[in-house]
Parts: sequence; C-alpha cells; structure tokens
Amino acid sequence: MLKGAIIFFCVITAYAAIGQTVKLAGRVSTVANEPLTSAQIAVYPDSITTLSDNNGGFAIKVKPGNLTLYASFVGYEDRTISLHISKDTTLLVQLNEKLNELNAVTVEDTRDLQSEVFQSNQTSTNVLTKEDITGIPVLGGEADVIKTLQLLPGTVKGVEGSSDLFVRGGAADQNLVLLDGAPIYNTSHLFGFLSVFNPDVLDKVEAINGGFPARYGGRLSSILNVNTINDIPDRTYISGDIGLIASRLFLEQPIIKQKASIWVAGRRTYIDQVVKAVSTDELPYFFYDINAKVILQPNDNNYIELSHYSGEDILDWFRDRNNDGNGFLTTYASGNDSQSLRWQRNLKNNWNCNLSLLRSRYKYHIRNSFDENQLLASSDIEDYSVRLLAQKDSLFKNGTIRTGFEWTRHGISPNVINTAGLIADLLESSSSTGRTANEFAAHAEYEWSVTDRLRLMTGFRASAGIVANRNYFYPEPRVSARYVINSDQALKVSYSRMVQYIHRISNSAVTSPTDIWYPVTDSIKPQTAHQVALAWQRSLHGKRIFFSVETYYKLMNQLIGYEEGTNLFFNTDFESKLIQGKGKSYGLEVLLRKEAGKFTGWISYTLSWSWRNFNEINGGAWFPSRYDRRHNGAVVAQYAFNKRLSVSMVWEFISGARFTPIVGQYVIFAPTLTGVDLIPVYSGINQVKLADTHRLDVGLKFRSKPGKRFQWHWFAGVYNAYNRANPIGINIEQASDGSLQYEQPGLFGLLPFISYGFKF
Amino acid sequence: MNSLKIQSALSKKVIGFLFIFIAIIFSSCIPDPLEVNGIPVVKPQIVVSTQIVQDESLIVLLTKTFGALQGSDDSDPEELFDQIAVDDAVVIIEGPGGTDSLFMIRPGVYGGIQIAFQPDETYHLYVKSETLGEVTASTTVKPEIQFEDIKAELYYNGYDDTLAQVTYAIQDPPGRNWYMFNVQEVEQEDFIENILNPRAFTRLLDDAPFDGENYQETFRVFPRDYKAGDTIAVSISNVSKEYYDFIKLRQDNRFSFVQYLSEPVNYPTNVVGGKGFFNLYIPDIRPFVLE
Repeated sequence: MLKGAIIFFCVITAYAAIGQTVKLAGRVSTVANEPLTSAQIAVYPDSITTLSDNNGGFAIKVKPGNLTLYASFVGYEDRTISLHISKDTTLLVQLNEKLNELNAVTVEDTRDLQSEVFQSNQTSTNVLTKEDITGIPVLGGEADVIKTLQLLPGTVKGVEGSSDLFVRGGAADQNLVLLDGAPIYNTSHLFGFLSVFNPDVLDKVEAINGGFPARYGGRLSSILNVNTINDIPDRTYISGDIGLIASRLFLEQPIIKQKASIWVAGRRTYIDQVVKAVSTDELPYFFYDINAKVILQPNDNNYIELSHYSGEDILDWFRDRNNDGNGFLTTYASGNDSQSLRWQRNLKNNWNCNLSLLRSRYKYHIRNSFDENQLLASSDIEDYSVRLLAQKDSLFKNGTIRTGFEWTRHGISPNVINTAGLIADLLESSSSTGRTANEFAAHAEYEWSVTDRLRLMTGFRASAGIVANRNYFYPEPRVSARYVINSDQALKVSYSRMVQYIHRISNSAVTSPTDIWYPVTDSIKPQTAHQVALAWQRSLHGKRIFFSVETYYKLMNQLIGYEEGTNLFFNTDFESKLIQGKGKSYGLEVLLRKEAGKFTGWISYTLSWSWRNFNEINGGAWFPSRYDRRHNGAVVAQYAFNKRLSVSMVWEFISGARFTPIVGQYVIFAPTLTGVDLIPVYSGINQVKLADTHRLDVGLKFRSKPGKRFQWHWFAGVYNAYNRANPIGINIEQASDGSLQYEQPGLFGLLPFISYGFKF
Repeated sequence: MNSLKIQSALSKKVIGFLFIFIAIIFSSCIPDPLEVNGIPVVKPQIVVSTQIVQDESLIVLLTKTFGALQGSDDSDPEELFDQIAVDDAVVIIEGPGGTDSLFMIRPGVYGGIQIAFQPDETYHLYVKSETLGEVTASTTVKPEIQFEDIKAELYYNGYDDTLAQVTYAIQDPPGRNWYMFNVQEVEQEDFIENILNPRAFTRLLDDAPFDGENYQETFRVFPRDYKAGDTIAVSISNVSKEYYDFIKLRQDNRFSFVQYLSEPVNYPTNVVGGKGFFNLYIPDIRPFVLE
C-alpha cells in the first residue's frame, strides 16, 4: 500500500513538473536578417534540441529558470545565450558567418541532412546529396544514386555492378522508388548496370529502410525518395559532363524573378555514334534520359512544380549480309516515363497541404525477325495516382499532425508473346490476361513531445487493394519514439507494418528489364511485413559527424516465390508457377559519417541474416535468401588537398551471395530410348556461398580556379583497382588437362574512367 | 576545303584510336575466375530407369548418382558407365501376375523376359543393393497408344531450312492421358556418338482438349535440318502424369543459360529412397525414310 502511494506521488510530482513549462520561441538568421533553415538549437540544462524551420523559426517548451541556448549552423560561428525565463519568450538569434572556414570545405551544401535525420523520430533513414553521389568513383565514372546507396548500411547489392537493391533481407521489387513522387518501375539502364537517375538534377535522395511514416506504403522493404532540384535560380545556369559511357547537359533558366523557373536535363550514351563514325560496323544500342521541371512560386503560400522524366534503352539492329532484304532484325526498347504535378499550399493556423497528380509508365517491346520467323514480346504497366497530404506544423504547438489519402490505378498488360515461322514451333504465341488494380490508402499520424526528452509518433495507415473478384484490406500501424539522452545522443525505436499489392515477376537470381509487374489476384495475396528497429545515434553538430548503431528484425509473409524449375523466360503462364511463403531477416547496422572539413566520407558496416521458407521448395525447410550476405562494409572517403584538387576512394567488402550449384548428376534412359540423359542434381537452395566480394575504386578530381564564372573539372580514376573477380555464379568448365572444375567468373575487372564537367 | 577534310579524317582517326584504346584496356582487364571451395558432395543413391521392349521384356538400368565433375556430354560413355553401374543388386518386380526376379545382363543392366504387363494394373519394383541400400518404386501401366495414321516427309520452308514434317492421327482412349512423341535419326553413328544426352526431338501432348476423340495434327521437327534419304523413327507413348511433368521440366530447362535465368530444380522421381523413374509404357515406333 505504502509502495503504491509512493509511486502515485512520484508520478503526480513528475507530471506536475512536466506541466510547468513555458514557450521559448525565436528566429535564427544571419546578421543581414536572412533566415537560416535547419540551424541547430539546443537548450540546457534539459538538453532539448530542435531545428529551425524554413523561415528560421523555432519553438520549444522549457521549464522556467536559468537556461543556456546554444545555436549553430554550418559556416557560421556558434552562439551561446544565457537567459532567465519565467514566461513565454521570443528571441532573435543572429549568427556571424565564418569567413575563412568554408574555404577548405569541399561540401558546398549548407544543409545538414544528417542532423535532420538525427533530430527526427525517423529510424533507418539514409540521406544523400548530389555532392555525395558525384564525388565518388563508380563504374564507368558515371555517378549513380543506386550504387552510392549500396554503400550505406542496410542495403545489399545483387550481381556485381547491377542497380538492384536488396534492403534488410527483402527482395529487389520491395523498394518503392519515387522520382518527385512518381513511382519508377525500372530503375536501370544498360541492362541493369546503370541507374536511370541523372545526377545533374538531384537535390536530395532519402532512403527509408524501416520506421516508415504512415504516409508511405506499397512496398515491404524501403522507400527511395529521389527529389530533383526545386530552387528558383537567380540567373541562367548551364552545366554538363562528358564521360566514357554517357554525356549530360543541364540548363536552368529563371522565367520570372524569384517566382518561376524551368530546367531541362538530358543524358545519352554515344558509343553507337562513335562506332558509326570510325568504322563500317555498328553498335546500334543507346540509352537516353530527359528530365524537366517547371517551378512556380507565385507567393510565400503557394508552390507548384511540374516534373517530367522519360528514358529509354534502345537496340535497333538490322543485318542484311546478302543485301536481299531478308536480313536479321532485332529491336529492343524499354523505358519509363513519368509526370508529377505537385501543389503545396500554406493555409491558416499552420496547416499546409500537398496535392499531387502522378502518372508513371514502364514498357518494353522486343522484336526479332528473320525471314518468315518472328518473335514479338511486350509488356506494359501504367499508373495514375492522386495523393493529398495535409500537415499542421508543430512549431508553435506541442504536436504535429499529418493526414492524407492516396489512390493509384495500375493498368497492366503483363506479357504478350507473338511468334511466327519456326520459332512458333519452339515458343507458342500466348499472352497473359491484362489486369487493372486499384490501391487506396488513408493515413494519419500524430507526433508530439510526451516529455522534454521523449517524442512519440503514432500513425495508422489503412490500405486496400481492389482487383477483379477480390478486395484486400490491411491495417498498417506505425509507431516511433525518440528519447534524448543529451544534446548529441538519442535513442530511437520504431515499429511498422507494410503491405505490397504489386510484385515484380523476376527470377530470384537476377532481374532484367523484361521482368514484368503483376498485381495481387484472387489467388496471389499481398505481401506483408512487420519490422521493428532500435537505434542509438550520436551527432556532433559542429563537426558534422554522425554515428549510428541500429538493429532490426523483420518478418515477412506471403512472399512471392517460384516453383522449382520455373523458367520465366518469355513465360506467359507464370501465375501458375507462383508460390507464397515466409521470410525473416535481422541484423545490425553501423554508420560513421563525417560531412564537413577537408576529409569527408563514411564508414558503414552491416551484419545481417535473411531467410526464406516455402512449403513447395527445399523440402519445406528454411533456407538463406539469394542475397543473404553476412558482412557488408564500405569505406567511402574524399580528401580535399585544396580548393582545386581532391582525391576520393571507395573500398567495399561484401560476403559472397548465395548460390545453388549443380553438385551431382545421374543417368536415365532418354525419352527416345537410344541413349541416356544426364540429369543434374542441385545443392539445397542457396546452400553454397560464393566468394567474398571486395573492390577498391579511386578517383582524382581537379577543378578550375574558384570564383570564375566558367567552372570546370576533370574526374579520372579506376574502378576495381586491383582487378578482383567478384563472382556472379558457379560454372563447370573444362580445365586445360581436360578435367572438369568449378569456377566463379566475375563480370568487371579494372576499368579506368575519365570525365570532364563544366558549369557556367 | 581540303584542310577541313584532312582535319575531319584526323579527328575520326583520333576518335577511332581512343575507342580502340579504351576497348583494349577494358577487355584486357577481365579478372581471372576464382576457385570454388565448399561444394557439397552428392550422396550416392540408387538411380532407376526402365524400358519395355516390344517382346514383353523389361530392361532396368541401375546406376548411382555421381559428382558433377565426374562426367559430361563429352565423356566416354563406357568409362562413365563402368564407374556408376550397380552390380550387387537384387531386382524384383511384382504385379498382379506374380513376382519376377530380374537377372543381371551386365553390370548395371538387369532384365526380365515374358512379363505380360497389363494395362491399368500397378506394378512394384524392389531393388536391394548391399552397398547402396534399398529402393522401391510403383507405377501403373498406361494403355498402349498406336498411330491410326502417320506420315513423315521433308518440309522445305522456302528459305534455307529443310525440316521433317510429321502428320499423324490417333484415337484417344477415354480418360486423361499424356502423350510423348519422339523423333530420332536412325543412323548407326548417331547412336554411338550420342549415347550421352542424345540429340532428339520430343513433343508432349495433354489430351484434355480432345479426351476420347480422334485427334490429328501436323508438327515439324525443329530445329534439325534433314535431307532426302535420311531415316527417322517416330514414336508415341502414353506416359504417366509424373513422367510427363518430369519431361516438361526437362524441356523448360533445356538451355544451358537457363541456369542463371530459371529456378534450380531437383527433378521429381517416383523412386522411394533413390532417383530416376520406374516407367512401364510401350512406345509405338514407326520408321520413315524421308523423301
């Protein structure tokens, strides 16, 4: 009884103490009164931290008494203010620019994105800027969003050099890739080895691998938000880059000063043109991307952007050796195009609304013809979406509420095969039934400070998948919490449930541009996942050093798998081959990142496990997933010797992927009864681990003198500097003495690159 | 004008040189493949394969599973067979007519004569090896199917290919049946050179769309090229659903590149404790000289 009374007394006392707070609001600006966005605000002794908003404003609840306010912003001198506060108070905090420090800093971006991650409730989130992506050496020297993401914790690559992402034990199709809000179904060019995102147009890339806010859904494993430039420039800018694989050009033009602008960017390979120019042979392949955006900001309360993307891979080969018109024709075309229209409006009482209208399409078309023989194959998916998000800003209230809804219509023509001539004897004409699927979701989340140290976010997403003859409805609860240990350390925890109503029908080993997207049906149920994550993060604000240790556990249900022996190559009857099962993954992720100073970069490490279970395969026993790679680490570093010369390196180590090799064989009478067939015996599913992958890439960047209007740089280096084979599988080959042996071939060895970039 | 042409030619040469230089660098740096360690060793198991010949004789091929590096299409068949033959087995077949013990014709080949297999009856095979243990298998004899009418001829497709074209008719017995057609060149050297993985054409047909009806069709043997005077054997067999599915899986995975594009498969078997297939189907074989 006494114990209960003491606890009750303590709770009441604590509650009363928490309740006695006053509001400390203010604005952080330069001495010229320019607002500073995302400035760090910390108040001691209670270690309350926040970031300033777009207008430099901030507001926090504090206990009355003597306080110390600490304000900092990159490139500006820190400021400490001591004050006594007994009632609601408003401050103006002006920071002086550090005139000399930035000269040595190579990171031009003044936004401290990592700090924003630290300050938010968000777990499992990685952010990248254009500078992160373009500063490091990659395959062919072509800056690549996806390949840079593969160097961060939680993300495992597929085949060496490919643009597949396997996040926290998930499959490649479990990542929702959004370009300015519009989904991109095929994220790669060059048959998977280069991503479709033109680095010139990037503003910020955010990868959320867990702790998903309620406004995100539709995929199990990650949300990859690729945002393009959305600033209105003060003058015309033109920039470009000429590389070995492709070249790029970017034009940015204001239309109405500070109110409207447009930019256009293009990228194209030109190897076909080079070959055509120097020889009689042809290499009739190329890819291109076109990005464009119109930005309107008529006043402070309205922002409108119209974004467009289109890109294709095209192979168009006709060979007519006899010049009789009966040559061999091969054409292949695949590509995305997407449009998004977004209107953001600030309303009264700190409400703001985002309305987005989206369209996205991915298609491929293949035609092979020789004489009377012809093979046509095509597939198509087209989405139309509406999304509305309303948010009431937290700055002058204790909590933030976000709510909204979204609707997406998927129109899918999964696979059409038309054959004629001899090919028809081998592969019959067939087609899968076209399908329409509608996804609806309504969501709401509320984020508030329970105490000075504890901030909670509770959210709920109700989603539905409507297909012919079947409606699916799933609740998707989301919870996250952030506990402040002190001004630079926090503990975070999150739980989220995700549901996926559309799947990519893709071989479990490699993905290809001819993979098709297929919605849930009355027999194929949505994939679902539960995930919990626990993180400890430390952020040293002034030095822009971020350190995170995070662990996660994910359970997946109704995962898509395939019956043993399923061949998806031009197969229109894939639905009968689909099976559904379970998966689980867990792991530990560590990230140490430094974003300021001469030396920048990060060290990442992931220890992870990923398992699958299907009743129909592997005897119903659990087996490791194809990309269950135990250790995955990367060291990414850039060092600026001075304003003109910098060096960068990437060293990556990943445990070998899993593989199912042929381990034995046996003979039985052939169907013709005139011989015997050799029948292969495979190991258990994914029983063998391929050799570990490790690779060193180095690059050297030399820039023009700063301050001149025409800026240029040369970027040269090598990919896979010590020419290590990073295996893609296991083959049986004949040795020089005639005996048979296993081999692990790799795809890419040492590859030099050089590129020239300019901007004026 | 001339200087412009020279400049253009030079720039083309420079670009060409650069292109060739880059291509050489790229191709010269393909890394050597890595060695492979830790491949599991396949457990030796008895493999059963059977064949009925027209005179009510049954041949049972008894071998054991072997390592992936022990043989390939190019191996010497005799040498390979000597390594894998099971020569210490007792083989018994049991059916409605009683029990028959098969005798060893040569190591790995066991035979029985005058076994009158009855359609729609189930037969059981028992194999006991001192070194490899015991396996059993059961199968039901499917009714024999025969061509009602058949012809095979050369088909010239108007371009460069001359194919074999087969036109046939069958009377499908009531009930579900699964048919396997085979077309094989009948040349002595073909038998000898193609004992391991013989090149042959196999076509599968499910009678669901024409159950119990007379059925006829024409198919072309793809992708072989034939000439006048070639001899081929065309056969039809009424096979079990299990064997039909097995052959279908084999056909789906017939191309070597499929290893990277399809899901791995450990092929189904009706042999308990071992691998292979215990089949009791009787093919109707028709030879033709193509003209």
